[in-house]
Amino acid sequence: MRIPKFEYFSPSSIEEACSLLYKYKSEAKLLAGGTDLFVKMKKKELLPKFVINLKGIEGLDKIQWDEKEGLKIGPLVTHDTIVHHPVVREKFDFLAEACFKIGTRQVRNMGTLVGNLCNASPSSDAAAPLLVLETKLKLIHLYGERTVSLQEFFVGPFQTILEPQEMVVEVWIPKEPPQSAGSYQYIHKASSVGETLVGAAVFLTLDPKDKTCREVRIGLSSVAPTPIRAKAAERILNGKRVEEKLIKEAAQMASEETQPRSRPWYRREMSRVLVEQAILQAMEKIQ
Amino acid sequence: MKKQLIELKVNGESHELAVEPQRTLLEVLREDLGLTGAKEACGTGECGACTVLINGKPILSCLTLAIEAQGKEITTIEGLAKGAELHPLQKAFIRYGAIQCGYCTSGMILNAKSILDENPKPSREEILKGLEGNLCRCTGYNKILEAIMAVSIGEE
Amino acid sequence: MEELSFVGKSVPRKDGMEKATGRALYTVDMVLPGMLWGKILRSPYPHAKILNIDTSRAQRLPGVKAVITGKDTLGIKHGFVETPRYPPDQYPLAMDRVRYIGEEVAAVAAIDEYIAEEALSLIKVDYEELPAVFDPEEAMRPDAPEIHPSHPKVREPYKNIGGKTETGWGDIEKGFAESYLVREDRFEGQLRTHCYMEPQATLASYDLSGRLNVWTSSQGPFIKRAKLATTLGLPFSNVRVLKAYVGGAYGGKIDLFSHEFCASLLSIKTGRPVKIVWTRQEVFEASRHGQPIIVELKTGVKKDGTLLAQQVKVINNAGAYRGSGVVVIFLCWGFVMLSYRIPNLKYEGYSVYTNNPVRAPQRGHGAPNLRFAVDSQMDMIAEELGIDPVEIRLKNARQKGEILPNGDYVRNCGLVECIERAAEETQFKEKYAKGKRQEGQRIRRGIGMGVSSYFSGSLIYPNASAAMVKLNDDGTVSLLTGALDIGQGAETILSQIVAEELGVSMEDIRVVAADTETTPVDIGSWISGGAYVSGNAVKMAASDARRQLFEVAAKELEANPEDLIAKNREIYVKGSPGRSLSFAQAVAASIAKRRGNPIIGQGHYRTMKDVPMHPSLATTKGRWSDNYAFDAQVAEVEVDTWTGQVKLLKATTAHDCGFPINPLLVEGQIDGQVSMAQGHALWEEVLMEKGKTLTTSFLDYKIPCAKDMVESHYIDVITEKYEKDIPYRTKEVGEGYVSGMVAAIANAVYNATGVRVKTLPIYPEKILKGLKEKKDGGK
Repeated sequence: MRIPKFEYFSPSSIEEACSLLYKYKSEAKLLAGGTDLFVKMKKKELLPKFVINLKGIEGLDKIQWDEKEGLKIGPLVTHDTIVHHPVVREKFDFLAEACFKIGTRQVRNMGTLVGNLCNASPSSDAAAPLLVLETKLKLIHLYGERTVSLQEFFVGPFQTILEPQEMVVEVWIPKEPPQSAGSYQYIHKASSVGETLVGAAVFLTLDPKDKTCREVRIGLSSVAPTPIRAKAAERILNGKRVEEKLIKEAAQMASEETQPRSRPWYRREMSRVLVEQAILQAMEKIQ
Repeated sequence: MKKQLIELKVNGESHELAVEPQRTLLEVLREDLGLTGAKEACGTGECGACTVLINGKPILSCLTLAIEAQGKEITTIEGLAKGAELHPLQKAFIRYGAIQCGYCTSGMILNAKSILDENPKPSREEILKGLEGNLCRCTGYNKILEAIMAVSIGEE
Repeated sequence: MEELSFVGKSVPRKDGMEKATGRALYTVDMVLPGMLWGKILRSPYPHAKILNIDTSRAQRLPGVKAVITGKDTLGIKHGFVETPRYPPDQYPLAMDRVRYIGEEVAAVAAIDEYIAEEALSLIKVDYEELPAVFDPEEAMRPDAPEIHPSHPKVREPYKNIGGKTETGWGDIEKGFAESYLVREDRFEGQLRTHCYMEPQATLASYDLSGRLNVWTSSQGPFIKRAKLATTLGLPFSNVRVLKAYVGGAYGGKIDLFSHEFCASLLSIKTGRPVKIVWTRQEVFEASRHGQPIIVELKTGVKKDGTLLAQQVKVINNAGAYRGSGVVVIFLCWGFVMLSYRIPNLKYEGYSVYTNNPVRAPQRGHGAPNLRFAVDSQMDMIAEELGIDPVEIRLKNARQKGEILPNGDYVRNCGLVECIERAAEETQFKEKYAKGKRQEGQRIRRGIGMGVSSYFSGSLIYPNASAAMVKLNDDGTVSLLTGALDIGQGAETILSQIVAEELGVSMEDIRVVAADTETTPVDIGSWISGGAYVSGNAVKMAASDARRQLFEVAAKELEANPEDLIAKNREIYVKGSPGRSLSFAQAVAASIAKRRGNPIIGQGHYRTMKDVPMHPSLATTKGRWSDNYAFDAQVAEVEVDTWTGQVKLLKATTAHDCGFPINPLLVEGQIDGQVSMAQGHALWEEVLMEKGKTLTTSFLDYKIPCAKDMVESHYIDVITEKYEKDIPYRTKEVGEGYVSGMVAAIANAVYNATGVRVKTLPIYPEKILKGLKEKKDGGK
């Protein structure tokens, strides 16, 4: 399968990239890993006249940890880098696990986290963990910048809030609160490779002595037009003592907050099962 | 679209080529350099048959532009053997019956090599997870695993 | 078996080196000077009249060298079977009608694929849509749209019947009347596909002396040559189909495909080589997938589980042309009657036209669906009678020496031993009992058994295989065989036979294969006769060469030819190892010193020599095969009752393959078939909606990946042997091990969960819903 023809740019600075984006807007697409872009182009779902390769720009592949601010991930950081990064594994291990699920070994070497988020697949494995970590994205264009929450960023299936001249330069995960842990549980569509049928991420801040849930965040992917937070389910647990009955109630509520389009019965069932599993695993990690 | 002059380093040899920007590394290897070991079985990133090593890491050459591969060390299956001396993985694949139709073999061996280069003594689960992106319809993967385990314990 | 040096040994594959170093050339790898790229224009409608095709703009596009439509062809039809009852029914390029989305309407050859694709978009086709039908039972109804007129010999008022198989024996009504228990069940197999890693591909090169050379990803060159020559109006000898390595086929690359015809015709028109390679998307959308079969089974048994009567109705969704549909409904009968004795049988099979892409054989060709049905029901019957599933199978299993209802003699049969040993080695009875006692557990284990049998070689063009063994004066040997290695190791096992017969080494043998011009005729790698038919042809050729060589060597050694032995590249006198000469010396002596005979051995073999052709597809009358293979397989599964997901943990295959010529290759065949059964039973389905394919990539259609690898165990039941100077009998190993495993998995899932799934694949929802029903039903 051939990639349709295009004009190619390989800028050496962010300014140059932004300048090109501003000039060509919707006629251009940014190239990071290529694992989504080229597939869509081969299938003729996307036919940009211009492709702007970001990989020639230095410094975009950094992960930085700041004691106050948290984790900042650049646009060219690959899934593989995240999976193996010591800070991610220590502080946000369930994110590393989620990224380990993405694609295949080869795809993880090539694909970037930012690229994955910009692709905005409803079933993105990285999305649910990042949602429950209250991740923010920094968007820039030639004449300005803005910061949006990940929840705002996803607008619909494969649709983001990005304007044609904008690009994502940073994924910002705030520093984790004390006595917290996260868990990512998932079911495949069929066999082991391929899209996630349901992904559930839970981020729990718990007082281990009396098991009071200070805060719980529940994220689900592949069950709605975009990855979602199950806010009603969160309200059931927030501030309460976590016990089995309450967990099951919250899991049930989470499954009712989904809007699955295909295989709806199964997806709702699995949402319930996985949210429960994720809450339990997060609890275990804290204790 | 105008062709660009690029230099690719493949299996230790440099090649100067004029290619259009949309041409993938897979196409250029197969059609311009005659290295047909890397194959296309899907073209969209699921099958792994186009796997080559770039700076030692397994990547999908069907989703990599040839122009992007400049300045890197590209290893294809043709570059694995040293003259007539096969790489241990190649020997093991033959010995353990890990090859049937052979179409997935190039990508499978290269990816396996990268797994062993990273971790010379991987567990069965680590090998199978590492190979999840290389589809094989003939062997069921059983003898492929056997061959790789044999190399990892130093049998070849 | 006498002490053998090569046959029966796990010799490494002959083509292993080429494949491991990336040197093996598949059709997709081949290039010729001046080569053009071809692309196919396909119908977007499932059923439509073609009113007009305007190719003028496409022809004018710079870089386009030729455009063809049905008008440019001779209008000669082809078909998978071509008999008086089932004449060919498909044009290589649509003429006035299209009958499925994806049907080939035009083809283009251009200097590169971009231009070829652009040219396709410039071809203007005026269609008039016709009503379409996609479900076979709907297509049979009298008010269904007509895709083709029903076969004239079909008496029922059904529409769209491409073919019917009807047969039986005994008195079915009496059988049911005398039965202690009668069960009626319906089973549905899904549409699944081969997923060969190398897509469909053809390179055709016509030279102006009138000869067409073709490389194509196939399962045998001789049938391709025959059909290409016929549809192109060329003499067979003008069409040469040459060997290319094949990246998997599994039944999906047997008969003539439109793109092979188009590449050839485009090459004839342009005078340049033309290559057509399908994208994976095209393969999912328009290639021939496996036949989805509905099986309605009514079975009557005695109180002790002995089968008394069986009534079978099979409906095959054939797609828009007859294809191999009329073969599969015949084979399904065979797969019913082989494994268990059935005193009274009534069988009806319908192959129904629908506006879907034509279907093809897929590894097992009906057996997976049939054995899934029969063996699932067997378990259900066993449970109702309170009998153990192993016992009920032993009670009914085919035995050596029986005469099959069609007249074939079961010369040997290890089925009983297969069942017994499979059950023993897997501790079936204990695990089965344990499986039933897991109420309340989240993760449950289950064990199940499936039994299958397969024919080994039957008659279909060209009916026979031949081979030549040419001795070279440096001691090497050239084996000329028409057999095609599609991954199963044909060249390797045939070389083993030559090495055994001539006493040379595997490295001494060069194989020249699968070239219709230089190698003798061969039945192809799709009729389960490779080891038996082609193998015996090679054996005969090698022993012929050996006989001629011994005549010469006898003179050199002043001995009798009967006292000579060929071993370790030497010919020596029995009992006097000192009196010997090397193989090379003997050959050289023949050419240079003696009569100048370079020694070329010839051999040929035809299965069922006393029968003119294959059995009647319509009535099943006639001899079918000389050998039958049998197997019993056991699946051990783990089911998560919260998610419904099933894992196949362990597969045990006890098989009677006669004897394995190469045990390592046989194990590989078993592993691959277990993997295919896993996909077939648990995950794989090509989803279609109104004739349009929805699953168009490996992302949508899940085949097992490395993480899904199943622990695979093998139990060899040896029932044949290999001896010098007489033809041997061995059985197939390439197709029969999918079917038993599919049934075994379904039975194991039932053992674990109590949920009986009668439609494949076993989606997790089916398990969850089944468990829920059981719970609610129990209240």
